[in-house]
Amino acid sequence: MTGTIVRILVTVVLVAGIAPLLEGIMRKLKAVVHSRKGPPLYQPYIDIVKLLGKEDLRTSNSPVFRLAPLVCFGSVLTAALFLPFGFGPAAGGAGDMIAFVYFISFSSVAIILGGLASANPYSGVGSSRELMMLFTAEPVLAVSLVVAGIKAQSLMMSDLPLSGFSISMGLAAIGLFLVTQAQIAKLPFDVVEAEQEIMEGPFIEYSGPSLALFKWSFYMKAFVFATLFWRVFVNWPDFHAYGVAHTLAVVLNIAANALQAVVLLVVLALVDATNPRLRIDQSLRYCSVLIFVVMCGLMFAFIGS
Amino acid sequence: MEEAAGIRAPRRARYIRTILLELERVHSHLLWLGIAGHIIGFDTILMQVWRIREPIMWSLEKITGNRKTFGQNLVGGVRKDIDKGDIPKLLSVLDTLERELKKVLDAIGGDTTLKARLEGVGTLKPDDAKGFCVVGPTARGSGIAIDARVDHPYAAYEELVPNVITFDGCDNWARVLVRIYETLESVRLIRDGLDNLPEGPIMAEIRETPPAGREGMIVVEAPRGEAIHYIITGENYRPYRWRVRAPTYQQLQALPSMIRHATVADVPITLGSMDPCFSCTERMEVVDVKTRKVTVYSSGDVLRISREKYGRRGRA
Repeated sequence: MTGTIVRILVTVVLVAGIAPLLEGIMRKLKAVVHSRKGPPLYQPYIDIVKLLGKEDLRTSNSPVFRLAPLVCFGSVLTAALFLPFGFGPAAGGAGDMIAFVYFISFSSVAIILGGLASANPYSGVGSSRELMMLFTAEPVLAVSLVVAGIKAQSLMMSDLPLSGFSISMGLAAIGLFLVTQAQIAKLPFDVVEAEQEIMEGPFIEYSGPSLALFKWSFYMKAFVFATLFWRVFVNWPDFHAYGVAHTLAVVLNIAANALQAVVLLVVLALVDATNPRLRIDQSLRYCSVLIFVVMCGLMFAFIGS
Repeated sequence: MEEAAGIRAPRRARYIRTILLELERVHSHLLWLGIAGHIIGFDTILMQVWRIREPIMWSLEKITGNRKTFGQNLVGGVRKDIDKGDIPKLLSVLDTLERELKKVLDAIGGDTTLKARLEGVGTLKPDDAKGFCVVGPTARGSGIAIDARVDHPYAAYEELVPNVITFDGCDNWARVLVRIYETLESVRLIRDGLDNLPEGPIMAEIRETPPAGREGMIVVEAPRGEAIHYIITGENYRPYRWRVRAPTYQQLQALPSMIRHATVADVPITLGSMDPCFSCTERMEVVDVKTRKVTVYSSGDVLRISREKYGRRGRA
């Protein structure tokens, strides 16, 4: 029991603490592509602290509007509990990949509800876009995880990843990798916010601490998805196997996982910096191709290859 | 003004005017390209293009003393001469610009995502373009070869003849291409101008006061399209009437047909593709909500009203 609580605390601190740094690295990289100097790596921390200290303007009396940022933040953190960040999933056997998918989707639902709770038309457009993205991007995530589940004969995250290569897992990995860009709302898929078109969409009416929570949950979402990709498909390195002491191995595993997340996010940041924003219909078409890819993976998984 | 008074600026002054006009076109088109990139969320274009543009601004400052609003034209000539020692530096700036802009062109020419956003969006058919009287790059992107520099040559454009760049894609992508190739064409013109810069004075001698009641009109191909200046001379060196028609006012009329059936996401870039200048279209419109009566106030009306208001308070 104490072990579980410690693991949960460590996960929460780890995810919430490291995520802004990863965002800082992505911003810095983008600045390099732009030939800019760029903000310091710790800029996202400053942003969050600053926003947390500002006035929270309420433009709507609806409790949904007030609760949405909290729910979004909480659901991303809860989803993180089902993932291994260098040690077994913090929530242990309390939930499997299905639970993960539900919690991570719930953060999008919170954005949609929060956006619709204010009467702002831009917010409405943004929310409807988020809804469409949810309907097309989420199946890719779910199906690729189901493929992994079929191959592992288990939906528990602790039974993954598998060793060895199979066609179905390859297709699922491609699908999950390509949908991550859309999941963490980086260009060319930042249709939901699209500041030049609909002025941040669902977040237009949010300010201060509420906005900070939304932003923070985006940073965490990027870290969560990067970790998910590596921990579902790649089982390397595990320092327990190299005969180092248990505590040291855990620390090394955490560091290795964070480093791998950085590698993945660097790729995503490069894509982000070299693409214009797609239209919502083009984004949906992209996701539907991915759905086809992972469905093929599912078929291969059924026939056992 | 010169036309009204029958003055002709010396050849060197006309060359300098042309060079400055083209330098302005270069920086304006690059500025626009950056903004267009920003509108569709492609900030890398914005940053890179503006980085390329900056040396042009420095050169303009070197020549005229200002980055923008040069105040260079005087009646009868130009205020400042181009120093002979500055020419090699200016030429090397142009070389760098040309090389880097071609790199950008290569990069965005092969970008499928970018084309997906721009091709076939904001279509303006040649007939519609003529109907709405659009001008400048907006018209040339619809395959209509109008260019005041060629159609009504002014400054030194009789001698430095630009090639009119047209693309018949009729969409936002065509307008992007028109502007990029026009920038390269401007670079060529500036080079030609600097190489063949004639010697001589930069101001014409003006002996007598221009008489009142004379008319002058000039059509200038501004970066956004043709700008028309009309003047009637008045007493005591003052113009009696001066009317400017900037290109944006009639271009905007074409917007509704360009964005018909478009999604929200395509509207900003389509509007942006005609490089609108909203301050050029400033008219004040007051709608009486009860009677639905629309009154348009001109700048003169606004001036009169504000004078009346402050006059009552005894502050005019």
